[in-house]
Amino acid sequence: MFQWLGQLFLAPPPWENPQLFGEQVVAGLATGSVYALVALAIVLIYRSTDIVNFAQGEMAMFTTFAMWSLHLAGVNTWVLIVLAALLGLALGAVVERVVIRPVEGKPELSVIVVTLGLFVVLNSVATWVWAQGVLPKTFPTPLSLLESVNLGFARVSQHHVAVLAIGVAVMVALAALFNYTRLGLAMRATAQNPTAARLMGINVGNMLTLGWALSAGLGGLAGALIAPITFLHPAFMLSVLLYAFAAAVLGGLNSVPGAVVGGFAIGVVENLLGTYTPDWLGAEMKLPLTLLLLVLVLLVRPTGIFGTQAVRRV
Amino acid sequence: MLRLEGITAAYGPILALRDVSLEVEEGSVVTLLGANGAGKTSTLRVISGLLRPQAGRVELAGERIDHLSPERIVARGVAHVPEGRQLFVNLTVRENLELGAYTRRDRAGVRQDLERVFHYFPILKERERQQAGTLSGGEQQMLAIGRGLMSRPRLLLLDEPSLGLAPLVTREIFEIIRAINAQERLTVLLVEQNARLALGVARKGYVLETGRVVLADRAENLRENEEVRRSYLGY
Amino acid sequence: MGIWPFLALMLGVSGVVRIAPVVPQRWRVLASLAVLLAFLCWAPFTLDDFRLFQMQRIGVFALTCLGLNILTGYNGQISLGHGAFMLLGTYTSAVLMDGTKQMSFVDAQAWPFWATIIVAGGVAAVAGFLLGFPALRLSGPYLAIATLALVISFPIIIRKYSEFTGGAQGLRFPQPPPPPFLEGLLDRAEWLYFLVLLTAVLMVLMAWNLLRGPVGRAFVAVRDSEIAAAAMGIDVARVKVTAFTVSAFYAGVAGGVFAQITGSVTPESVDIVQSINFLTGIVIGGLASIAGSVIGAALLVFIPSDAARIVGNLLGIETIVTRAPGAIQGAAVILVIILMPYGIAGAARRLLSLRWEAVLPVLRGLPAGLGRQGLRLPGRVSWAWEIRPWARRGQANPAGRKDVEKSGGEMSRE
Repeated sequence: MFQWLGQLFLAPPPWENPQLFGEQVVAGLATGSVYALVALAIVLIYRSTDIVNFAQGEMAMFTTFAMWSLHLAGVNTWVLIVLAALLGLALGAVVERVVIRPVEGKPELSVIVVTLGLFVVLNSVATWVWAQGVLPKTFPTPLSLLESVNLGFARVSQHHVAVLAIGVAVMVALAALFNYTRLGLAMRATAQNPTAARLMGINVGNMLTLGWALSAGLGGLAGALIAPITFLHPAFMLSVLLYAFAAAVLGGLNSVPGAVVGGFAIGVVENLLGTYTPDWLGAEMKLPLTLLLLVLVLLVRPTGIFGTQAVRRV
Repeated sequence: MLRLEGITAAYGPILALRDVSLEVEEGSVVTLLGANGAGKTSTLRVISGLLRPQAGRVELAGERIDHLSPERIVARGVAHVPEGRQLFVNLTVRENLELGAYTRRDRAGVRQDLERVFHYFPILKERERQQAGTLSGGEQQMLAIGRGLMSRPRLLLLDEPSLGLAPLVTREIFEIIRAINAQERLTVLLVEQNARLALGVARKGYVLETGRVVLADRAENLRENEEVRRSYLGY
Repeated sequence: MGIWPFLALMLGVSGVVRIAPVVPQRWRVLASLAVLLAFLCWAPFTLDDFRLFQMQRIGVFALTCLGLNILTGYNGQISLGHGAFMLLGTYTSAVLMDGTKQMSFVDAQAWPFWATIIVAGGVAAVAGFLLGFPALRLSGPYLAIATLALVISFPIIIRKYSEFTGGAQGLRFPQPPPPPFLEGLLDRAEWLYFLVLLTAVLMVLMAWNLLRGPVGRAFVAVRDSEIAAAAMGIDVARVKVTAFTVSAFYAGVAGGVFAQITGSVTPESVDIVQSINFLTGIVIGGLASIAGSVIGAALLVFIPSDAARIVGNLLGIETIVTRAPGAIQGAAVILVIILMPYGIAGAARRLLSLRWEAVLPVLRGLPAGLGRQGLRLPGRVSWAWEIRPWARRGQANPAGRKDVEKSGGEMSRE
């Protein structure tokens, strides 16, 4: 019976080739940490403002392309990764001040539309500036994508290990920021109750700007980390964004730990689907399939696994 | 300590305050009375900067504050304990209190004040690590007041502390308010619908009706006043 | 005639008929619409080919936008994926007209074009119906994300199953020629234009009838408050699924007609950016408004062509028009929302509902008013804007607005 089941898949099933399974899981965790970073970015903004930043992916795409230009100019790759995060921080702050601030407090649909407008602008400008010549472009990695690290049960590329390590480190740093610093406390307070926060003397506007800056910084970092794997083209963050949305939604849009767990889960599922999907479906279908799985989960738990159901006053 | 002159304020096209003037002497408790919608909360909001007045001035210890943002006003020593508490429900009691001291830099002083708040409200010390949303109504009000005290304010604005609370708890809280005013010499502007309790602890009172000050007098006179007795005291 | 003089004339004359005492009061609206229709019939004989093609596209997009408006504006369900329904309609029509790429149980010959449009609508409606059910469980941001996922996944599926769909190359098929009784009177472009016009008018009439009837009222009731609607005895689930189905039908029909006017289809014919543009279009044009859908569609077509050219000339960057028209589109969207958060139709409605008694005091207080609080224009705004796409967290908020204070701004009532 297992034999028949085994022939269904594209690749040798786990019980025949545990090494492959292990590798795909670890690789999935690595890409998953990137999805988690972007999911965190989304949740960060959503928690404090009830806004879903649909332009998140395009902002990251923009910074990553900018980094690619710098790379062509000869900048060191490790520096590029740091710069990507910094540029993201700046971009986020500017976007909040210039584009989002004027529509704060307006109907939510209007604000969503503003982020969608931003999406279109960034998409269009990036295509104009960078999508010349050969596509997709290769994005450099400080470590190698080919040389692998032997983890005992699997061999995974150096880059994947680095991505996982950096991702986890950043998440830990964020957690520390939010839970153990005065600023983090102020940000949490602002997210929960902006009126009361103002009465504490917290400059809510600055907190919001900071939130957007952090969020875009996470996006920029994520873009630089995953670009070497997915290659660089104007639509490369689109699927990442979608997976990140899936992760955020899976974990519950206002749950930070949920976003992290969701990210890793989606990363692993996506990778496994890409490896093991039967032929008649094909590996390209891993995106629709992952999303289908997400929708199925949502049907069972409409606000995500860790999400809290908002209380509606009637 | 606090002086309002000719304050007019509106929410969009709706006028909430018309030409309101009042004065709060340093170290005293002054109460604002009136029915729902009379403009009591709006007055506090103007003072703490949440609502910009269209006309008039607000002076805190001689300094004009009516054009400042709430953050600046808080930094100048005004603590507003809003209607409905407005606690950070998912944060702990301790975190709420720490946030009250957000504008302060003196860590030793903050620690001292934290102890003092626990002294006034011992139950908060017990519940220090609990989420604010899990506290009872009375405890939440205590936390809200304590949070206001943490900024070591010169002026405390209290908006309807008795709202939604049982009579016994309310009495306890008013006792504490009286104690705080006596011991700390803290100036308090108290908005209340429960006129009896408010007049029991205040030195002076103003009565607001549809955005206008209709009565202003010492507390004991207000207690005897025919109109006040009929409209707000119930006898 | 150039397009802008034409449009100005059209709107001007119909506007005059609407307001001025040219016609007795009760006929004014009808008369102004008749004038509009007359101008639209005249259009193909006075505009050049490019503009005519743009008008065709506006007609098609207006239908999609109308469908989306039914779902989002009238019923409060946000969909970022209407492009998928439209694309589905286009492919259905294309497959049926192509005659070679069909499943074996269907006769392998080309269907008449008008039949394909109807079937396109039907297939999309079925898809909408099926998707309406899971949509019941998803609210606000979750639904938006799910529909986004749909519109991104759909082309992938199309590319995969290329035996039916022609894969990444897509399909090409002959555009329908004018019917025999019109042959010689109209050339192909004009005929296609009238096809679009006819379909649009029919669909708009249907929508108008639907929306002012009990179904439309149920849509709005559910949008404003599901709980209250349920308490009144409305079957909320049925209403929401119906909205999805109807709106998908409109997008499907639009797709079918789109196939006719373009003669080809690829997985990128209606892409994610286009899908986004539909939503931004109706928000800018006007939610819960048929006219708003048309305005939105017009903006969708004219901004990338004309506004981009104007901006390009102003800034001296001609390439913006050809390479990044989307940048102008997106920037326009952002600007319009910042200036008119209730969309163009909302601003127009506000202006139209002004009365002198209300405006005069504002004008008198202008110098002071402009200083801090900005100009407060009285006037009503469509309740569509009180859509609660997101469930509010915790605090009761009678005005339905977020309680975030802006510095110097004003808050919801106490």
